[in-house]
Amino acid sequence: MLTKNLIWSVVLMILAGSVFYIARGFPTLPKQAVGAGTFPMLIAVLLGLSGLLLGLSELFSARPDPVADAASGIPAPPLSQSIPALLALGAVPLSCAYLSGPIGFTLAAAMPTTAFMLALRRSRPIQTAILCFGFCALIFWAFTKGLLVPLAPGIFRTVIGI
Amino acid sequence: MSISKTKKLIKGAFAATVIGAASLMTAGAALAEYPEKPITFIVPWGAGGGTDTTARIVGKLMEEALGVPVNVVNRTGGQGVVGHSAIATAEPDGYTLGLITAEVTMMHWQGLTDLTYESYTPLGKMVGVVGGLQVKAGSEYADAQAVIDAIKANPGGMTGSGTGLGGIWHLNMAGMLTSAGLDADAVRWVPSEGAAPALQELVAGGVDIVTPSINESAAMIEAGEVVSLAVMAPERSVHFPDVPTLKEATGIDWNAGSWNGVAGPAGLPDDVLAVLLPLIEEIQASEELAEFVNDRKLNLFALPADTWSGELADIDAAMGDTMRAAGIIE
Amino acid sequence: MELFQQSFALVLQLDVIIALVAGGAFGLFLGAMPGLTATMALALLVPVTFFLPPVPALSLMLSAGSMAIFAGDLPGALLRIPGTPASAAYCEDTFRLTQGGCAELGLGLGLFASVIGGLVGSLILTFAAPMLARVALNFSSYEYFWLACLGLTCAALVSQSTPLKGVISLLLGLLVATVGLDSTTGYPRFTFGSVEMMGGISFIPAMIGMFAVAELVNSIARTPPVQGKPTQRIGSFSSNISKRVWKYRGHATRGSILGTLVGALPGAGADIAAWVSYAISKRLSKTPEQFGNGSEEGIVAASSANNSSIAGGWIPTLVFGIPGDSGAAIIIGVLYLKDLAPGPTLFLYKPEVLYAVFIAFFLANILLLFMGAVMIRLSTNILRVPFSVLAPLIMIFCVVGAFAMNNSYFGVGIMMAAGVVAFALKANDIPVAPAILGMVLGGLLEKTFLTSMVKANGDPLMFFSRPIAASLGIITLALWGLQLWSSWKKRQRLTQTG
Repeated sequence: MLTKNLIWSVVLMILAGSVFYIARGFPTLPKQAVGAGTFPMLIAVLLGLSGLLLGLSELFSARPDPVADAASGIPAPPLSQSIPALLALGAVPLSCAYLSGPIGFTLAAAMPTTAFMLALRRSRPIQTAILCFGFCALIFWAFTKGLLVPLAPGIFRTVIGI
Repeated sequence: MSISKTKKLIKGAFAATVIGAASLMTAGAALAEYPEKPITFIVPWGAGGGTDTTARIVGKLMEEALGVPVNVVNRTGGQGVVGHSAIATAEPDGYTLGLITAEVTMMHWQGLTDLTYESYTPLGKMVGVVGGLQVKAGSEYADAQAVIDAIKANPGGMTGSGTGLGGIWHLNMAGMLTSAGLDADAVRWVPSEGAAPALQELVAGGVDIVTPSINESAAMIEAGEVVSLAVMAPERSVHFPDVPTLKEATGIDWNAGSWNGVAGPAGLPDDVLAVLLPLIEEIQASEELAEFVNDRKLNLFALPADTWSGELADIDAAMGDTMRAAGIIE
Repeated sequence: MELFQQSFALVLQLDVIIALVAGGAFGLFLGAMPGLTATMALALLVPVTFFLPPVPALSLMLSAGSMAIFAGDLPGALLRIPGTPASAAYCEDTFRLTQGGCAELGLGLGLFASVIGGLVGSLILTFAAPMLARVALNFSSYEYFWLACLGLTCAALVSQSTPLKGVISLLLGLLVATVGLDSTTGYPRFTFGSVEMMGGISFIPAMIGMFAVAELVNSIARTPPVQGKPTQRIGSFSSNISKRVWKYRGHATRGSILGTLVGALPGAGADIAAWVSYAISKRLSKTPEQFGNGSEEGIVAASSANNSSIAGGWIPTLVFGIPGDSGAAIIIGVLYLKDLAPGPTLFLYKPEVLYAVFIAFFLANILLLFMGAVMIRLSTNILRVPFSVLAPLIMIFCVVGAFAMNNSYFGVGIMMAAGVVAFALKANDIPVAPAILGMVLGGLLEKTFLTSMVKANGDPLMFFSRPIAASLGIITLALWGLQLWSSWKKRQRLTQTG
């Protein structure tokens, strides 16, 4: 059976192998055996061994890993319930990164935040939108005015005039 | 409330804001004058060293004059390559500046990087230091001659430090050794990320001698942890009149020193230069800088941007010859 | 004496006092919210410290850290959900007291014990750190190499999961630390041609991702939303609380000293300090059956331990640059930002700043007494703020915080990637804390390793050539040997029985 630990074991060994392969090409210090590649290669070897050990102990253990069993034993809520909220969570950084330029930070942040909050509690949309917009405007104001972090003002500056 | 209803609401809210946003977008943002946001000031060496403290004071004076924060950031590593590349490869918009050091005229000779002094817009030379030879307080070496004798007796047996491999203080060591008729690697060089970590390693007994500037060793000398045996300069330092020059102490004729200066990436626009050039000259002449230089036992080597650019070309060519002579490059 | 005057002058400034109060309020709020940890509070405050002078910046962090740990008791007592993992040890006890109508007793005891723990921890920090720094001045690259190894060993072995998974997490962290321009040769490693990657993976956005974003994802995806409604009335404190604290002074002192020591151990933080102190108190108690049923001894012992561990965690952070726990790892980032590179020379160059920080520690714990009392009064209201409102607002804060690090959305990308990785690790029961320590200490470990190799001319025995280095090295190797031997034994037992 393909358990989580086995998947991790394979992933770790592949990762270790590629790190080792790339690090072999790193230069060494002049007149020294050590260099830029020494440490990454050392880590890669240890990581590969740990991955191997994880896989072996999973395959040959006398009884299944009690911790893994217990973890999977907890009834998690159906994933479909949390998918909208997770998507909205992911939308927050994306919207801030790509929409801040054209429409300004406040709006770019407030829209996905509103969606996120609605996905979590599913009630009172108007209040939610107002709360989110207010909070994002507050963050914008505090960070640009107080802390001088250059968040994109976009249309917010022209509307409010600051 | 059902899920589909919520979805509709989210969609509705989203559409409303997008329409609202679009109608307002035409307004556009106003053009602002430089500087309108914080400036990042990169130091290629570690916190606590001579370069770092210079950057902090210059940064502070710039901040006061410009009215925006000037964040001094240490980008150490790669024997200064990391920080120097960070300055050179930054957007030339005046929001990333930095302090470049003598290594700029050295690194490309060693093939560490393609960067030369031409990768920068020089804004003004600031502060300089002279090389020294330091040992741990209470060590067996009473003077510079004793150190040279010990190296002669046991070539390759002693360790030294001061900066990265092939850095200016490594050159200082190699130059001292070759001038004394020894091999350039008669002392095994232990790379460090600048003078401060090298001094810490010396105090801990990890290396036998260090050759960073006497100026950067001042705090450790005053704390009684480190003793300076010689300065690599034609004259004694005004700050340390008791320390002999290397020539006085051993008869070896070798001088080395380092400097730093404010620079930005090549191709800074004229409107930025119009703000920065007068400001840098003002800072060079300021009492704060003079006082700071004196306090920290550094030397003021102030030069305006145009004179400095000319000097950089000369230094760069001369450095190649010196490094070859000292056996650091082939 | 002149030094203390200078330090007092640095602390008794309006901005420092404001930083202490504001940091404390933020810490109290986040600590009281189930699912939001003290480390998260620190990670979210980092962007604010960019713009503060060193002493207020550090005051903000230490105040938030200390108060968040206490605030974790509040939902524990009222909802039976510990606010931070550090309060989990005695959550059952405080909740039982609340059920018995003595909410104010449980919380008041916790508050007083926390303040005592914090003060004792600060005292030990003030006296032990400069002495240790004196010793550390004689540390060369060999000693630092072994010290980093020992710290990472503790971090990997102490973690709650299996040691193997702790090691995997640690190695992943070390691997991330190698990304960027190499510090000895200047060669770009694992950057795949990206200029932004050359500077390395900056760990503050990564930390925000691992502690804040991953926690949010975890709360949304894995645990059914707990929507507690605290309705219990909290009675008024009276003088009998201080009388009871006096009665348990032995427990408080023992808990505080134990907590400071555990906190100073790299990798072990407030949660482990609380568990250890609770367990020892139970073993030594005349009434061990009370533990878990509202034991006042247990509350005092564990609550003083988790608060004192905060100051304890600062000891190795300041002296060696090796963080005592993940919160202290964030402090290291702030120290570098503020031109206070941690290490023994800091005690030579900037002693006044350090003593100012020590004084701020005392002030923060005295403030905790008052702010904590107010917080207990307000707690029933504050705990009504639902997670569904809080989570999106924290997410925005995370994004802005990661952006502010370099004023670029590259940091936000790192944050999200770190969040996803941390979630994947947690979902497989791989602890995150060793990875953080690996990221923070990777540079130091590699640098001291290479320096030592050059000094030793390739002779591995030179790593044991100095007495302190040799002892540290032998302890490290012995710990690994012991660990391997005990897992081997366990495996044999398992195969025999199975």
